[in-house]
Amino acid sequence: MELFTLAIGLCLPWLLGVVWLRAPWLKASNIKWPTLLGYGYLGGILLTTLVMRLLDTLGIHLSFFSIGLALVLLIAAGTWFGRGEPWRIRWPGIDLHSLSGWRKIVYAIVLAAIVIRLVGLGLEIVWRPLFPWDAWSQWATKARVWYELGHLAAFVPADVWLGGELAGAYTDTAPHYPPAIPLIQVWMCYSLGRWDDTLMNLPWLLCAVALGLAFYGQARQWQVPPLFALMFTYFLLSLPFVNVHVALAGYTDLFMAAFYGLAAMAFFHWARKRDFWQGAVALLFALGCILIKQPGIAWALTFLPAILVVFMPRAGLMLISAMAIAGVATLFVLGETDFKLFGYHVYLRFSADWQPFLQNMLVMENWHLFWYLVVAALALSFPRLLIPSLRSMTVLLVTAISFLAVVFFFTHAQAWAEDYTTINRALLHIVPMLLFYVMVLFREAAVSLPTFMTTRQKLT
Amino acid sequence: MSIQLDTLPVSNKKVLRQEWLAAPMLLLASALILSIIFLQDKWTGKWMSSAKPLIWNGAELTLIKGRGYSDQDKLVIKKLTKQGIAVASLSPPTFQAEDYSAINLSVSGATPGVKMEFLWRTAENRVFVRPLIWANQTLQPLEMAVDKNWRGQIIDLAIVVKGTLTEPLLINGVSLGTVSLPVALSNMLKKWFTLDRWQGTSIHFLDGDAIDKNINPLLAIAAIVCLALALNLILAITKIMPLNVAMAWGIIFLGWFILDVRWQANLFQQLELTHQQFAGKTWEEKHLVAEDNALFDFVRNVKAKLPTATGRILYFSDDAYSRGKGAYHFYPQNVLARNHLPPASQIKTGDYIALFAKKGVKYDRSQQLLIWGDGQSLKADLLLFAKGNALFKVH
Repeated sequence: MELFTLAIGLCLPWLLGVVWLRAPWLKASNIKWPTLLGYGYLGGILLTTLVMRLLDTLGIHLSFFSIGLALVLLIAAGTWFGRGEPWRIRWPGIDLHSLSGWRKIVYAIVLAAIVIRLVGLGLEIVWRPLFPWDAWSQWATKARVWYELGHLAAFVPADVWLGGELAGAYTDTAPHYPPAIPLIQVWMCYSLGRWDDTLMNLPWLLCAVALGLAFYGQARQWQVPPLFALMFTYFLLSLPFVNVHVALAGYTDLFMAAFYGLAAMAFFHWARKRDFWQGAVALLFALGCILIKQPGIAWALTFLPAILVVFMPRAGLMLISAMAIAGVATLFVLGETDFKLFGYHVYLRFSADWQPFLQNMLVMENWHLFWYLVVAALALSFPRLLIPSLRSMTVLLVTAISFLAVVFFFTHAQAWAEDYTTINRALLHIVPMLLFYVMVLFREAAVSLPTFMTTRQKLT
Repeated sequence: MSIQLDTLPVSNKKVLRQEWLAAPMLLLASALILSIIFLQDKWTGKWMSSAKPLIWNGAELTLIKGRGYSDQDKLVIKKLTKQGIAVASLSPPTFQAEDYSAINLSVSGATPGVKMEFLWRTAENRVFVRPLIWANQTLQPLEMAVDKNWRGQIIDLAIVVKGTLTEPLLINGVSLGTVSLPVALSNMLKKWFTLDRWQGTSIHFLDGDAIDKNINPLLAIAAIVCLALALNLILAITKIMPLNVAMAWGIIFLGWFILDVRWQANLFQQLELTHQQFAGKTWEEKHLVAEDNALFDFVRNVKAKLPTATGRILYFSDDAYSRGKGAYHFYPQNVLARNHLPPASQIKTGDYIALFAKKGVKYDRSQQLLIWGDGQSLKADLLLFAKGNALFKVH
């Protein structure tokens, strides 16, 4: 029985996301089904946490029944709104059957490799008790309390707790962190009917599945051939560091990467063809980043320069360049100082140490050949990075990398790069977006290569 | 995804149809070229060796310092000398050091406090020593070929055990691996596929501790892929083979796939361990068989002493891990985890104080007084005391 309700708990958010992303005003008519499923799960699970927060605000006791009922009603409403929309779900194997010869075999092998990987990671989640540090020091702490109490009890800093000023308040190592991730775990435990700090992490597996589906769907939406799209999806889902964050579930970074990646991919599509669904979803998922983790605010803000460039290509680019120069100059002028930002105490101090980055990106086994691929793509496409079709994408990428550069070269976070504790987790946030960008660069290069060769032949 | 730059003659089209074979062939050629260059530069041993591996079981070792006995092909070391040392020696037939590249030692029952060294004596009566390295509770093979003192005739071998022996140490066997290219290559492959299990740091980075650092798999594959792509380009420029994007992607994909096979093998090995340790257990049973089970057990016992609706629990430990993880186990109780006890004025009547692996706190039973720090004290009842850890209720 508990497995049945657990399955319901996993499926309801998925269904919720899918039906609402098909709402007629979002104009989802051209969206491929893997895209819808990928965005559907992540959108749905975040919406579930918002529903839980709303129920709590209304004073309704959280339980499987209260949350489940709200989700069912929302699903019914979404289905009713989208009743006129046709379900354009094509047979899932159609991409495989469109291929010929050895490509079909390679497609099947790559797909099997992805499935084997995900099954293995799923089993690791199911068997292993909560393992990684932050998972039990700042996320599952809240989940356990809220699950047992049935409401979102306040978490306060240790000194406030010790002073006893706020009755019934709890504390942990990060009381100010957003509640979305613990609420996902709470919903899983309600679905299961008991506290279980292993099975409550199954959404991390579904997050990886959704990320893969969305990536593949958006790649196909970009007219990337099926085998090439699947190969890049495999690249994404086979990255050791991505796998670690699924297997040792409980950190927010995988969700952060997924939300930022999905927002960026939708933004790329919107910037390319002004597709309304993609634009709306890019906005929703960028805002979703804020609900996942504190740095999500910064990640959401990275879209602003890219949006500016979409609407004012030349002026926007010049303005952003000027602001970037002014920003860097300000950092140097400020020198060593400190201030509070997004709940973090930031100490400014410039020191550029590349060694931890080179070691983690190019030598250690965190990322397979990913960063080599990034370097190759950027080097090969360098003259074309600011052509109109790539401009806003490149600006988003540069803004995201600049954010990381400021954090790791200009603040005290540099120490976390030197001890390797944050470097890969911060990079993980941009990896899905970056891989999609790299795929597009190679794809655009491949498309333009024959045209270039024909022109050259005519000229010579 | 194949892109033709020129119209192909029929023979080249045939080549293109076989592009699925061309990518692995180019990759293989690249791997061979780089291997030869690498070996030419780095390989100091013999390409082939006629020497046979030397293998001894533990019972063939003689314990010359410390206490122990031989038992069923094993040497059991029960106790160290007063100086905290045990020495087991071996007098092999004289052999040439250059014929053997690695020492393998099979040992069981070692606890974290145990350190081991390998000694050898040359025909010139010079003695050399090298520490043995533990990784994942097994001794790493000792690479001797790189040691400048591993030269000439060897007449004696010995193993030194130091530190604290909390349980008997079993030496199962010692072996010397021969120097030859096939053996070295197979050892390298074995190391590439050695389990690199989950650690506390895995969520931050994968250091590949267990993997051979001499030939880093990622750097090796990256170099092989780059050379294969360059060969592809050269063959296209010289019109031996058409430039084909699919072939280039085939090379990149295969390089990635090879790395991923190693990673997948690691995940499978890890999954097997996870299955053995945790599968089929409830979430509480899983914590009870985990490495930090003592902590979970302590918190469980403390929680059993607490009423359902308690006030505040102040939990202290000197160890950061025990502090954080212990606090997690306390929830949903209202707990605060800290390193140091606060001033007594901040602790209220009815508060509970739990101590785990905490030094510098005393309890006077007769006075029912908990004393810590710079003269801080308060009245408290002792509710639980086990293995130096305790629970108190403040009066």
